[in-house]
Amino acid sequence: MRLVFAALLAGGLLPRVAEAQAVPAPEYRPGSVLTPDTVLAPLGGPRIVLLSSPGVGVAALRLAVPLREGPTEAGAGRLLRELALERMRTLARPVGAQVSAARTPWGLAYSAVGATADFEYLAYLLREAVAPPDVTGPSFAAARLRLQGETAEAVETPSGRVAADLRSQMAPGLPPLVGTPSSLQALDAPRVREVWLRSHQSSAMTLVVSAPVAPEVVLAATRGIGAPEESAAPAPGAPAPAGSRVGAPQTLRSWYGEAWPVGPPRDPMGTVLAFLVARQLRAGSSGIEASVELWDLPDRSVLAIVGSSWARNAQAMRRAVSDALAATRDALDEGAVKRAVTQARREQMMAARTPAGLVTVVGRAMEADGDPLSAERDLEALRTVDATSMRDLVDRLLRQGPRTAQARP
Amino acid sequence: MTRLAAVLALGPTILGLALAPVSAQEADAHGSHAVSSHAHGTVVALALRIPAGSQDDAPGLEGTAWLLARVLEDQVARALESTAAVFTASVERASTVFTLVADPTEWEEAWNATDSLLLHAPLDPGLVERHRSRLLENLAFEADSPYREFEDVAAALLTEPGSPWARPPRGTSTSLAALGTADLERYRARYHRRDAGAWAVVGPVVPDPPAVVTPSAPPAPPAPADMAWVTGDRVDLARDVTSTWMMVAYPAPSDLPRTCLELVAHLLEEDLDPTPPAPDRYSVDVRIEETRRGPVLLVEASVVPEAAADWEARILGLVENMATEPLADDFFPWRRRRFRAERLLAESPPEAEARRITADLLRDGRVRDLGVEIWELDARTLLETSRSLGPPRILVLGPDLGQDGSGASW
Repeated sequence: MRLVFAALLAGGLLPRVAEAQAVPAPEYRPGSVLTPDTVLAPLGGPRIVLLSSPGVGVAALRLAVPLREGPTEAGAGRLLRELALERMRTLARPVGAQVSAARTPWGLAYSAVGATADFEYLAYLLREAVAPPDVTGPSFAAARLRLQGETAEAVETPSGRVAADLRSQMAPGLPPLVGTPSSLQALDAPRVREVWLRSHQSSAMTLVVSAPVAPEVVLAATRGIGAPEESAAPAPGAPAPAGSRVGAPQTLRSWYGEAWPVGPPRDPMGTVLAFLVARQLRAGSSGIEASVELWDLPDRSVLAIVGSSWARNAQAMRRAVSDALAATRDALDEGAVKRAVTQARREQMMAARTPAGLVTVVGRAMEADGDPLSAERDLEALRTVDATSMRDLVDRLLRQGPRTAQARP
Repeated sequence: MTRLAAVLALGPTILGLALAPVSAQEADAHGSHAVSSHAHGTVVALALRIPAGSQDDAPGLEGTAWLLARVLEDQVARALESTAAVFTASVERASTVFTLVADPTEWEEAWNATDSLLLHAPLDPGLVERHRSRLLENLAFEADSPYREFEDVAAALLTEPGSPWARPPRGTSTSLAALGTADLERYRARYHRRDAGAWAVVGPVVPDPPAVVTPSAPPAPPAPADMAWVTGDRVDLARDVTSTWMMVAYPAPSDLPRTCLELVAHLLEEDLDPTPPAPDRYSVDVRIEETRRGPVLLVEASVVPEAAADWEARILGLVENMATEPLADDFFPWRRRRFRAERLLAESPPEAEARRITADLLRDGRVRDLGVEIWELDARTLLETSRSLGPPRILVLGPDLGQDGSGASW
């Protein structure tokens, strides 16, 4: 990987890049597939991470924008995503590009994928994605209504309710990414625009690119992207708006969930543990439904096991969920861990095999700590997971005990 | 890091070559032609296409190729459990395709395990029984499904009467009941041979030595042009269903450049199924089917019964229009641009590219450079391609709406 620090000065972009010094990265590994080729750090941003292009003729770009919402802004990021996505889709259609926008635990990520020959147009799509949101048109009200529907789902369905309860216990004070009914109600156009102004600063953004194009082309295509720098202001610290009292959801079956903090975000140990617990539940349970999920929060990852069953199996279901971790511990051996590690590697490999997948894997891994080598490090860490380290982790979780949530008929 | 994609079409030694790594020289030495192109990749993908599919099932043993593929897929997946590799097997009417996606550091090991199982390892009778039961369950579930009838009649319309091409790929409950491990072994011994097929490797494989190899053998002489049919046909089936399925199929000359036909299919799909979709359609699919006598451009739609006649007229009108009115010069480049993006994106997964390359090799004896070929298309080519299509065959399966077309009322 080359680290190129380019001072981006108005009017002096290309000469400065040409003069930029290439510094060998400390952990350069010629065989690693997730290691960027070049990192550019132009003054004023965005930081640019260039990857080898795996597909013939296809370019993929992913622009990450860090965003931390204040208590009164919960859901603003999702609203910005909805508005940007609508705009991106309309503009992408003429050239057949694929676009997406995602609210991640750390911010927003906009992506554009298309023919390499359309690279400049793809960069333009990202420029439009981070342009000022249209908060005055009908699409703003429509997007807010859609999100209100999503927040209602967390309240009115038992699975949503159990997940929301577990999440709020694991991260007290951290509002859900989709917002709450009351926060969305309070999110008006000026407030959403304020969030955009504060977050969509070019200097804070990171662009990950997989395309056979010269760094100069990428720099020129992304110059001046985002909100004006002088507009940055801190997130308001006002308390969250009070919500109305929420009743219990109507449910026919019993639902029960447990959750544990397993480590830092994207910890490979958590991934392996999730596979092991899922396998254990599949092998040992009948008559119940159970799901094993790994959630990324901004500062940690959480393992959640949620089961459901009809009344006659409610006790068995609860026992299965409660005993899942201990049973996984009892069944732990080198072979089982190796299988789970391979399964996790397989998923990672398949996810990163296209240009779009590659920029997502590398870009998402970078979001938590900003390190362009995070994806490669995660992969390396995954390879080192063994039965001993898994036993240590499970023992720690068992000692610590879970957070629990339930919904009953 | 320099990464190269080696694309190899191997003749007499298709499965016999040690793939560690496959060298262009080796392929050349065995009298087959090879193409390599530069690419970067995070995985190695390999596709192996054998020119035998469901049409080669023995009479009365329909479903053999399909069941064999399921069993092989399962056996190979078990053998690959210790690697991050993914293996798939799929059966088409005239070919069987195996794909392997593997980590670049493991792909030789993965391929060696796959290769020996595909050809040599005895089939596990327990797995045969398990997959046969599963297949029978699925067929039982679909019994009397109007869409299955639609599929069977549509296949029969695309080929000559009695052609094995139209056999049900997954077989029937009777044929599956008669199938045993020995039948699968016989099929494998006969068709999964070393002297047939094509394969492609895509990814960070470094051929040894040259990176770019010019095909040494000239392409096979072109076969005389043929067409799936020269007379149109129409079948209407009235059934007690709540939606209407229709197929409108056009034969194309067998020597028509494939990229031209793909452009017509793309434009047709864009026109028929814009965003947002029409409210009276459930699904629209435009694709190219490879019959024994040539390709067929096929539109399949599921629509609200009351709108069926309009949809049929719309499909026929669009194709007729393409053959009579050239696209405006300032409009065509945009549509071609979208087509290029769509095709390239569809091949972003390296195994998809490898699959397409094997199809190119078996069909044309060469590999297309899609980006270049698409950009060379012009409005005149489109017009000529549309004009070369033969008369359509149409199948409509839906409720009988009566004389006024409004159907029963509450």
